[in-house]
Amino acid sequence: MGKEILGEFEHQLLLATLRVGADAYSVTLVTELEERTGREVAPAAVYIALKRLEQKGLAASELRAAPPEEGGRERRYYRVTPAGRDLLLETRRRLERLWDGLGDALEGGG
Amino acid sequence: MRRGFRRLIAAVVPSTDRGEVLSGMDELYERRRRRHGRIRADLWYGRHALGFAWRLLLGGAVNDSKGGGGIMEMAVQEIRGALRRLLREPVFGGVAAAVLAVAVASFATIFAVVDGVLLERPGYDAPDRLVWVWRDYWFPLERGWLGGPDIVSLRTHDDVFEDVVGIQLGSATLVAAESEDARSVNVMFVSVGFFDLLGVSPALGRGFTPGEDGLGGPQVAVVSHALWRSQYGTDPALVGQDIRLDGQPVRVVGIAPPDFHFVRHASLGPPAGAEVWMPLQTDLAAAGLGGSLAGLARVRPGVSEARLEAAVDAVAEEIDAEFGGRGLEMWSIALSEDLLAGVRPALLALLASALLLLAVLAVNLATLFFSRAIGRESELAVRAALGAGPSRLVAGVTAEAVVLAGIGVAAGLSLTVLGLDLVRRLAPPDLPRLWAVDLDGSVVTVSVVMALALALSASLGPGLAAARSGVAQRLRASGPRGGGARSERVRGALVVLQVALSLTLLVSAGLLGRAFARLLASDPGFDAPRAITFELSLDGTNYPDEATEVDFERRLRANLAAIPGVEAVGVTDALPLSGAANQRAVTFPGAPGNSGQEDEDSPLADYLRIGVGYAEAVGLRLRSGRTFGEVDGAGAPLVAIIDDVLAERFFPGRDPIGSPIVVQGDTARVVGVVDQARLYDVHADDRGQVYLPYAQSPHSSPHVVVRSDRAAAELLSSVRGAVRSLDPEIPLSDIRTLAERRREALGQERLTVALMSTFAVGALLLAVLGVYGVVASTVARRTREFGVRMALGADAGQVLRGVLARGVFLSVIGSALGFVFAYLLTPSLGAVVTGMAASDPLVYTVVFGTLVLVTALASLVPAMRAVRVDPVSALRGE
Repeated sequence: MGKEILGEFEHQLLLATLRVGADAYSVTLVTELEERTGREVAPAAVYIALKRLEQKGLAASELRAAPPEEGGRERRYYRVTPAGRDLLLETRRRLERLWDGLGDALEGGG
Repeated sequence: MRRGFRRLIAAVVPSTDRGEVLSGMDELYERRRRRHGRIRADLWYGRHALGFAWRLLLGGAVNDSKGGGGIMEMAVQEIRGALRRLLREPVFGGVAAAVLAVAVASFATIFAVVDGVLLERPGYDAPDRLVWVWRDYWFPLERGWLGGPDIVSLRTHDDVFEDVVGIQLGSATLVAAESEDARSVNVMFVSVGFFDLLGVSPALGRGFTPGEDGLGGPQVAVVSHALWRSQYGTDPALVGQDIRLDGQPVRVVGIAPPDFHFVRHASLGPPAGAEVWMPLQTDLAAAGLGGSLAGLARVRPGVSEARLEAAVDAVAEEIDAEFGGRGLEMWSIALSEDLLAGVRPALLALLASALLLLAVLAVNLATLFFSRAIGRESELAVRAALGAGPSRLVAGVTAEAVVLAGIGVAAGLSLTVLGLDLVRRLAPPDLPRLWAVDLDGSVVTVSVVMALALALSASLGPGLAAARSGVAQRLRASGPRGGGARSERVRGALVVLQVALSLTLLVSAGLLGRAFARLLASDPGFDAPRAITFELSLDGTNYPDEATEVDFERRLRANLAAIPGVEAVGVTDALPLSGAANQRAVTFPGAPGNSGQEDEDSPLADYLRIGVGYAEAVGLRLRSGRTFGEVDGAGAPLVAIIDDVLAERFFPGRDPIGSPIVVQGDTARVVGVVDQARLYDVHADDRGQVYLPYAQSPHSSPHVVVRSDRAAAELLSSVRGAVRSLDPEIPLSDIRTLAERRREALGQERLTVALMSTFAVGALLLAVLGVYGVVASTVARRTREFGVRMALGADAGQVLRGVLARGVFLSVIGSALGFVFAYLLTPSLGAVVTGMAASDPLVYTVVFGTLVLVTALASLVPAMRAVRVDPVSALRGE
């Protein structure tokens, strides 16, 4: 697992999927990413990244009916797999090791 | 708009995810729309639909091989692959697409014009059974108006003709609304069967009914769709209402359909349309023998040429008998033939040159693909060795051709829009059927087919060769650099063809250009100074007789002459180069040039009525005598000015001043001789001209010439003011400077020469690029050889000459072939621009010299590279 590297966008997308939780599908993920990052997100990028995450086994999807108040149509809902959670934690640890001791230096302007 | 983008997403997203992606996009779109409004949401949707297309077609990030192997999916995959390959070779892809775009644009522009003018059918029923009938007089007037009795007599041959109508064209002043300026409209007076004969029913209301023609019929009119729209806001209530033409109420009974563009052909001068049609209220049988009508007939189905001719001849015989058997004949010509005879040679020449350019582009494209195939030989060989079958390789090449053709068509048709704009601006106003020139379905279809054919034929050759030849052979044959002497021979041959085709185009353009330059420089017989010209239409109610017309002319002249900066003012009934003059037979009793033959001694002359000051305003050149002055008034002795053509014919070596001239029974004295001011062609009119003083025979729609040193636009507002102060209801129309009229007289030639020169220069550039490419690749292949030769002490000049000789050799061979093409093709250009020399040594020499010089220059660049080769690195590099 330690060899796998998470791309920046994939990283963000996995975090967004965790945040949105049970309601995670293309639209909520695009909206969540836009709200959190403050930037416009291309739906095509989300679509492709989700496919790729699924291929890598980092995310999984299932077809489920949408809640009746949203029309009850079938939608593809995404969740993060245990492998995905492990990789997220691993990535975070790696980043934290890199950040270690840098915070003061950066904020001190030095 | 959004629907199109939705379709785009549906096309690029694999079928398994299509519904999901589309409904997701819809949901996001709805949110945006609620928050940011429709426009920004639409823009967002479009942008991200393109994002899907871009990422999925090029990124290839999604593994969709499970999506089913339908032909469409396979095609999409191939196209995706082709796009990716082309993007990896942006120079090749860009150049190939640009070549295709130029091919599409140049061909589509010409095709649109040819299609609109020559091929598109007019909006009439069975147009091929419509013929014009003309009189051919015993004196030189082969195309004369019919008289009333001619029409009546033609109608009696009802086994041949369904109907025959007479048509006259006039103009009238229309004041559409109190607030509007008066405007002059063309009015066509037609026999009542006119609309039925054409098979046209009015868009609204009715046509004319029997009984509405003939003397004293009701004042009724059909109005053109354009006039209805521009002046009456397409108000349906106009039908049944009165409009005021020349101050008289005329009841509108119908509106013509929007695509009705009928033009009346003229005995002399250009065809013209109208905005209003009214019944011809003449008793044709009693109208007398004089010709004044255009005769249009509908021939019954199945009537042979011979029977038609026999009927026309029989009528001619009858009418000739009335003339006393002097040899009057009549002839008929199909409507479209009559309209298009003048432009067909030029359009066909342009079409031919567009095809030549197309051939150059095709060769260019083939060279591009060929060089690329050589460069990729080892890649293809490896792919084939790895198991890609021939069909797979061909499919890939085809996909590339389709992608390139698609880009070429899109870019090319955008250029065509600009090209057609330019054509419309450059086209002479009398180019028939210009309204039908459009980027329509047939033009798009032809462009797509052509681009696909070009791209496929250029790419499949190398592709098929790659697929056919054995793998091992290819791996062996293709060194690291690829391409051998054999491939250079193929490319050399292609370049020779290119040079030959461009030489043909250059020679054609050169010959036409020289002839055109001669026309431009030819003397029209008047000095086109800074003068504006316009037409005034005097209303028959306010100006009922000659006295009021003459009085108006005098006051107008005084008012205009009072404008600061105005140098001369004069009126005429036919401006130079307008082709609008009437003709009369003239005789010079007792003149030394008379032959004694009555017909020869009473030639038909163009007959113009000009006011005081006209000769000075338009710049007529006086040879002897004087121009008209105030003394030549209504009651004064009749006087005339003749041109040098008549003077030299009837008074060779003498001065005709003071001699009598008889025009229509009136005897006048010749007081002046002027150089002929051309009425029809800038280079030559064969008919003589007679000028009579306006004050002695006025008419109701004079053209006015105002010569001034002020700018036309500035002058015009003062002129309008001066006319309005005389009579606010008189409309100014047909406003142009004299210089513009001169330019327009050569409009068709100018357009042809401009387009053909553009094609020729384009072809030359492509040929030069071709020569450069071949020589450069020769140098690249022989780098090692050059290195060795230089190391062994070869003279740099010798190497340089060797390489240059290669380029020059190609262009000389190409030119030789091109001379043969040009020799065979250029004679057919004779009808395009008057006075074209079939073989002009200067043009041939200049074109040949230019070609050899520029191809030598193009070879010089790689030649210099060959000379600068460093022997050591050249040897090591291999």
